[in-house]
Amino acid sequence: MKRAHRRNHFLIWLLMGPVLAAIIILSLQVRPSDDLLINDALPAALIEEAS
Amino acid sequence: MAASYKAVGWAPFKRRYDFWMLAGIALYLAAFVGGTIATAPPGETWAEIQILIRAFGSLAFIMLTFILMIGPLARLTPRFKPFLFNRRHLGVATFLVALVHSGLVVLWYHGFSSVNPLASLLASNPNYGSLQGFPFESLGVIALFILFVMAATSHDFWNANLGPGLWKAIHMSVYVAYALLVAHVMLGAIQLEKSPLYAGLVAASAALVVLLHLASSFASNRSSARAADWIKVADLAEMEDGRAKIVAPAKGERIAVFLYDGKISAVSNVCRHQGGPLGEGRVIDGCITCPWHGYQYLPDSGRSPPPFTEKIATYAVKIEGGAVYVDPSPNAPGTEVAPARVEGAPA
Repeated sequence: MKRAHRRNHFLIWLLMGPVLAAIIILSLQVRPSDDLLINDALPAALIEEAS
Repeated sequence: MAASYKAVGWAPFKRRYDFWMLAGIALYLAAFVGGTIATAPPGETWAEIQILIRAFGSLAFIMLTFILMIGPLARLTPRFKPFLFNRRHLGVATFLVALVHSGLVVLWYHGFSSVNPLASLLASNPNYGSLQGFPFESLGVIALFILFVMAATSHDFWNANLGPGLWKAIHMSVYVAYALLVAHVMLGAIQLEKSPLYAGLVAASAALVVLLHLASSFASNRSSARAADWIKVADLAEMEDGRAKIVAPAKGERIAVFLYDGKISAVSNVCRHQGGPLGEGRVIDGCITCPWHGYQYLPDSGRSPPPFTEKIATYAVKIEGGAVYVDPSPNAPGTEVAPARVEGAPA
């Protein structure tokens, strides 16, 4: 790889580290509490009827 | 390097690579579906299509993570070079796996109303102003579009017609796709997971990718040499037949110094095709062979064997006191330089 290309790669990954860390930390902070009931599963009877 | 364009330049190695890649994909999907059904808590009902959505989605994330790790791993240890050679097929397969994931999502969650499924996918949740409940699907759509552009241009035809600079710039958008994918997973599936295991796995994958890239950059910078008339490459005894030592002069490109058939020759480390690291390749049938896509060059002239026309810079070399030296001033691409002969080697 060309020298300039290697340097760009290095700078990109130096930036990507904090960006990815921020994405992960922020998304964990807005995660709903474990006690919250989530109605995300369709009743088996409805699935059966639909299929 | 090709006299004409072919859809795929098949070789026995590529066939074996693709076979194991497809076998790995099938094995993962079977293990994911079987494992999910076998370990589902009593009373929890998942439709088969929901399990498939998660299986294909997690597989696409794992494949993209692995693809991003191949480059730095191959630079740190030669064991990973075979993965590098056919990385394109892995990239196209990743796009197809992600496409199946998104197709199933559109079909299952947005396909049963009077609203257009794609409009429903992008507009049913307008909560773009808050991270909580963010419409993470749109992040996946953008990442999928980037993977599509990369897969569609993942051929020498596009490299030649767009030019290596633009082609490389397009394909570096994979980093944006990866960041979008991490956000898509973290703001989507991980939000509903009670176990911290999955969030930990995503974070560990992302951290590993970043650390490997930084570590390989540090490792190659550390080997940079200071300016000198002649740079010592290595002791002759350290050189391996058919392989190269790479030296980095203070100015200019890296130099790949090869030992082959009792001779030493030096060429630019940068392949004319896509800038692949020639010094990480080896001499096959008398030609330096790029580890990325198999472009070949004659070691003493830096020219591709006929009918091909690519040329790379060559460098003067000498052997003194059992050590190999290279002059860091490059000759014009394609300039023939007499190789240094190893004493006692057959002429």
